[in-house]
Amino acid sequence: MSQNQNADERPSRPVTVSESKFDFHDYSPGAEAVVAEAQVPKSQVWQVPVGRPLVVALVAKQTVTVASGDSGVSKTLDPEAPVVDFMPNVGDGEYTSDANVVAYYDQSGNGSKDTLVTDSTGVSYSGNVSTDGDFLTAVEFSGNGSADKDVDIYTVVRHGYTRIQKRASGKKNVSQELQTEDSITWAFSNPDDPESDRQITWDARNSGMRGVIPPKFYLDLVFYDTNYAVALDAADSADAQLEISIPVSQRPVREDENPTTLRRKVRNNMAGP
Amino acid sequence: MPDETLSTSMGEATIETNVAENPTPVAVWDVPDGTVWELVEGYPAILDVDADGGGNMPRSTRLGLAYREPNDPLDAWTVLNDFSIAPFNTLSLKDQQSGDNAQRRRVEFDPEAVPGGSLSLNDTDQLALVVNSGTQIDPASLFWNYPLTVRQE
Repeated sequence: MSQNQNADERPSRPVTVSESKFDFHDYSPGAEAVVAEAQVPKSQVWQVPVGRPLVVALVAKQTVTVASGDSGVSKTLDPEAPVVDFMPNVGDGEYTSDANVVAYYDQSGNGSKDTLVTDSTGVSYSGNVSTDGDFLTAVEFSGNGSADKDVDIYTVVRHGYTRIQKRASGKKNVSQELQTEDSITWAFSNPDDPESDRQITWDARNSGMRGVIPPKFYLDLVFYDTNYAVALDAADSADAQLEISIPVSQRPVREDENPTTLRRKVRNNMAGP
Repeated sequence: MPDETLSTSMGEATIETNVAENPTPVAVWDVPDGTVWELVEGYPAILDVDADGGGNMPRSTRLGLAYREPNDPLDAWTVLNDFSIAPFNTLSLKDQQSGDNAQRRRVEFDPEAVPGGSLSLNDTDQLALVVNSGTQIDPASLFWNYPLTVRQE
């Protein structure tokens, strides 16, 4: 391989589109809406690598109030928190910022909920949780501070569904669905466990033209639920459970390729189901 | 291989409570205009449901998929298959997602209702999950997932 290899001779390479590459939008229940979007760089083409595993764990947020005198008072989680294989479990005393339940409160009184609740903070876990199958239904908190505190609780989304779609940029804003799974299916997938076949992989129908995402097109996550929201744009979501890992195969636009022509070709192909 | 899923999370799904002691739908899907839904037997279903007030549904509970065409007599549902709730009570949603031990969760159509093991529904039809139990379900706890093929008409 020579040092001065031309860009258009470079072969495609595997790239993972992770949460840091997405822009997030707020969401209101009852409508299907784009909650995250990532754009293909203007000089690159993405192709869906069929069969490679996908990870999509979105985040929901709820707020409970812990009174100053509370000692081990159970707070019902609504929505419930799925006990996700690939995250630490609060039920086992793992109070990290990437556990399946993550709680923040305002310790200093400066108006921002930036203190992670553990078993030794002002608002603290008492160590008891209630479970129902694979879900945490309630968590006990104690309030040792001088005042009642609002606590933001982040959990993995269990309601609704999440769709991965590609979307054209510009005036003709057409989109095409690439893969859709229920939130529960996404949550309980496990890309790392060789013993389970709970992997979600890129669907085989995305081979060929359907799986081509040309320069400046968007890769979107579309969410829908009638009652529950996601909170991807909340302050601590990215630190909490949010995990997106979408493998694509990326190659530069070739010298004999015109990005506009490629976009038109793909867009015309997107009319079908 | 079907590429979509028939799910209670879909916008086309209406979730309701069953009438105790009567076979009644708990989830009804309206096939969207201009599409055809195809269901093929042989895949494992994923289901979770609690009784009203919490806890498992009794083991005597029977479940099934059913469809209804326009002008069906007395709005009757035609039941396609019938299965027990036992394997779904035994296995958590996470365990059901694993393909092992799926035999009792595999959907098998009644050959008299669906010859050939494959059912096509168009946009005037409705599909439902029906339950016959002495206990009412908690509609908020219902989750159902089965592979589905969607085609344009």
